[in-house]
Amino acid sequence: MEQNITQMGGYSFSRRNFVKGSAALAATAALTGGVGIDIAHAEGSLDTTAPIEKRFTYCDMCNQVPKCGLTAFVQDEKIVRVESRDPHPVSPLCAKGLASIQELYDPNRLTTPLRRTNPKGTGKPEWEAITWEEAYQTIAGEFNRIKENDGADAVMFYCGDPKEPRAAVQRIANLFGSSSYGLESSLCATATGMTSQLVYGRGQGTMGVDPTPETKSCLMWSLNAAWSQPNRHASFMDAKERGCKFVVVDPRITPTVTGLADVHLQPRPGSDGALALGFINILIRDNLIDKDFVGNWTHGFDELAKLAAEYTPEKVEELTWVPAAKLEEAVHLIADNAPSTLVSSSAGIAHSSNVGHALRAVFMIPALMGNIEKKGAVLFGGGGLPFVDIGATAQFDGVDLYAAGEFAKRRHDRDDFPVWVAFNNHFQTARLPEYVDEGKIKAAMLVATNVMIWPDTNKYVEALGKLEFSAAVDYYERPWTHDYVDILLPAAMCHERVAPFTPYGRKIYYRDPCVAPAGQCREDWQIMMELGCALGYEEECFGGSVEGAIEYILETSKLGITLADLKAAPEGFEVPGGTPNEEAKHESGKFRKDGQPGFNTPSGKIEFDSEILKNLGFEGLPIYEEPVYSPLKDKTYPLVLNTGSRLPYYTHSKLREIPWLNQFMPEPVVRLHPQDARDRSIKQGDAVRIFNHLGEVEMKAEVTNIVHQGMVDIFHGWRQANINLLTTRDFDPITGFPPFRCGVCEVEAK
Amino acid sequence: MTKWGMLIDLKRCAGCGACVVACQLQNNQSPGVSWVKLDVAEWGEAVGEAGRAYIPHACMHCENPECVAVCPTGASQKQEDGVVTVEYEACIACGQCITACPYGAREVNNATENYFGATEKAPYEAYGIQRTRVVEKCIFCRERVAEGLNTACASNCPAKARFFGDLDDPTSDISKRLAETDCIQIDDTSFYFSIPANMDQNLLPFAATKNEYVETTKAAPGIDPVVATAGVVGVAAIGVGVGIGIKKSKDKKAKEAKN
Repeated sequence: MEQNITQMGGYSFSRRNFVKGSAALAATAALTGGVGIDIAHAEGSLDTTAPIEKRFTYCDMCNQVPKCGLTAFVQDEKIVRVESRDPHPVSPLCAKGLASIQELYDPNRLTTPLRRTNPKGTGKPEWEAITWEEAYQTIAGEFNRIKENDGADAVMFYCGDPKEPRAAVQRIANLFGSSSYGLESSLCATATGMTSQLVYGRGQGTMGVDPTPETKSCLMWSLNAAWSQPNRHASFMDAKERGCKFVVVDPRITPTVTGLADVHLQPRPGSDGALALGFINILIRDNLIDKDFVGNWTHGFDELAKLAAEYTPEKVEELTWVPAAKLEEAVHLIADNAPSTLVSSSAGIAHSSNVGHALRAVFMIPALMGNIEKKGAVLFGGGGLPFVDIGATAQFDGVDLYAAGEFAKRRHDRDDFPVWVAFNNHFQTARLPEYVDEGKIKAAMLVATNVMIWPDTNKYVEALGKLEFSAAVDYYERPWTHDYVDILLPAAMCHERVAPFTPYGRKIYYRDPCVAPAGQCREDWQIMMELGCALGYEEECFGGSVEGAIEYILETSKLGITLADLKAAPEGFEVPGGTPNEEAKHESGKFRKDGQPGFNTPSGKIEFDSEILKNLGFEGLPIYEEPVYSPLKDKTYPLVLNTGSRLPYYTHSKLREIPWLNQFMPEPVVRLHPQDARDRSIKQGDAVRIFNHLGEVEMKAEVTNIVHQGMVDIFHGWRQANINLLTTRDFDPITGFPPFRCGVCEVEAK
Repeated sequence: MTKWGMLIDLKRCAGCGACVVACQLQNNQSPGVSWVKLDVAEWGEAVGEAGRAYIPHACMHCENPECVAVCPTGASQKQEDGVVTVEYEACIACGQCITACPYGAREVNNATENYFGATEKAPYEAYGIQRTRVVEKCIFCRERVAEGLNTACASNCPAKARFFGDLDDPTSDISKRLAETDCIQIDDTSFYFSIPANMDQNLLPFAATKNEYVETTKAAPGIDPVVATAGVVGVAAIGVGVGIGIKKSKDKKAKEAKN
């Protein structure tokens, strides 16, 4: 058996490269600051004799919004240490949270409102400092001009990552009257939420339910919590140590697989739909289904059984790479250990051109076994506090304005993605370039936005360049995006901000800023409220006051609590009342507005054959379709291109500037199986070209068994090697999600 | 008697790097310095045979530390509670301890610049012990532990893979974990690992000289000899004569693995 040991990964954490990485960063810093100019810290030097005080906030460094508790040690009004807050509902911090202090004190952070002084798209944007007042007046003037000429929908309000400002951005969009409110959730989580609701009913959107002490087995489909949510991985490991069995479906040998998997299924990325139908076929063939539950509470079983019968273990092996015997073992492990639960994810399988059907097939598995609404199985949440987004209410978001103004009828995406429109009040941004070309969107407010998020990125870059006007809010100047904006505004980081407050279960944490914002930075909620005032909504935006916004949210939550209550409870305010979650809510009528038993679907049952999809002209059964580009169809580019997965030290395109985070992977790498590397005479650390019909990027090869033979795995968001130049715009017609995980490519040594 | 020890469960470890960063922050490490090393081990290629694990490691706090024996100034010391420390004032950065350490746990801090190339230190750099031209390594967060706290790496491990505590106290985190799981003690040190069932214990890099992978581990894990040589005379000899025995606290599984 071949064995190999490398320092993380040979080139990624050797001391030599660490030093090299730091030097490279220093060089970048020197350029940004102007050659020969001293790089100074705006916060000034530290009085090391001053007393030290503990202050608390929560971290916003990742995209998962776990809201991990952070303790800041403050001396001389500067943060000298951060550590995990303990006790806290979500803890400990990961590497990103700990390194947040380096981002906070990065001398290259944006600290001043800026206005462009040279043409867009030159690659070298030039800026002049302006006041906040000038910035707001300019933005409001342009937005109102465009609204007058082209209607409010021509102004897009977009929120990317971090997600904390969403509610504030949505409120301004709704007040302004624009139905063009967009989120990075056009590519993340929403497909999972939509497909689970198509199966289980409206209001029961889920990514699965984590194991409880009652759970005997868990089917974990395309989640690597070890890297995306490391402290959640600890709770899965606790379940494992309690004796819960795990089947993990992932094309890679992730640390989640190493830690949890009793059976590991490694499907070809994009073939999950076939694997799920194969799973279902064995359940039915071997009589492992719950006949009573299926008979009473599901819709379309006979049709599903007929479809699944075509997916024999042997056929599934051909389609998915998963050995037939492994699949048989996995199905029986789950079926023999009830109650079993299902855990899936916001991305993974969701990034496929066939996700609308594939994820539905996955969600049908627990229903077939009757593992629904039982302790230890897929038990949907009940009750909870009336907050949406993070610490906001639907009234604050302005959904009444959305309904009264009939925004849904005006949305640009209404004909492109009708299923999406039926489920979401944020528009699907997939076809943004077309909307710009058709003159439907002419201006944009881009909060925490990076254009590298989109497939075939250059189309979106061009679209941004064609806008009449745009403004961005960010921590840094990010050239890919900001080379195309007119105004760039500096945002305060989590240590420097108030909103939003954070509910965990029935406990609410308010946050006081740990330190004052750097330079002229302002928190994004404040920026949006102040912009709202400039747009003419002074009263609705509380005169620009963030505390006023929070008071309004608490008032509209009707919980009878005030900001003063939250401020008086630094250890969290426990909202009185609430009832424990109960089993069999479908029997007691808790899922439906009419109070009748059943699920909140058109048929009143869990739908294997979706009436909503059929009504909108789609196939109702979870049919399997090969990914648009597939090595089974055409071997011109023989390797499956799997992109978009998570790393524990970067968040998408962010955090590359941070020395404590970029020490682990200082430069872009393509992960390549040892056999695929030998076939191409590629050695560890070689510079390689990755290419397909769309383009080419250069990276270093990491030869590793983490990937299955026949695929490569590439992290996204590298400005010097954006892999989304090679991903296609073959959107899933149901969800509008792009095929980040199932493209094709070839790799060659340079 | 108190005897501090560390156990890392490689089944839980996500390779996420939080321990590396927590240590760099807590212990005020200069740019380019990391007391925690993070390796990755892989075995097999075929589906069903292939496996992978991350291996964080640092100073093992040997019972009879070679680094202390060779230190000409007495800067490196073995404390009564088992922790090997470095007194920075006395260290002359001669590098003999780096050569002597079988685990690649020590490195010289030659830092002259601040993070981001800034002309002054950021608050988190200015806070804590200031030093350069000294040899550094894990000291089991001596100041935190004296205050009754856990080490930075263990308290900030999101996967809860690290277990730290008093080996002589049966109620400590580490003693409880040692009692209930199969673990491998690294030689005669205070460092233990629990490894995945399908992982060969010889993949623990400290046993590297027992197999043919010594070259890929660059003689000693965590240190690049080329860089180290530039700073310290004689470091190229790192790894020569490294013969590390591994003994099992509960050797049932480990024996099976060997057979």
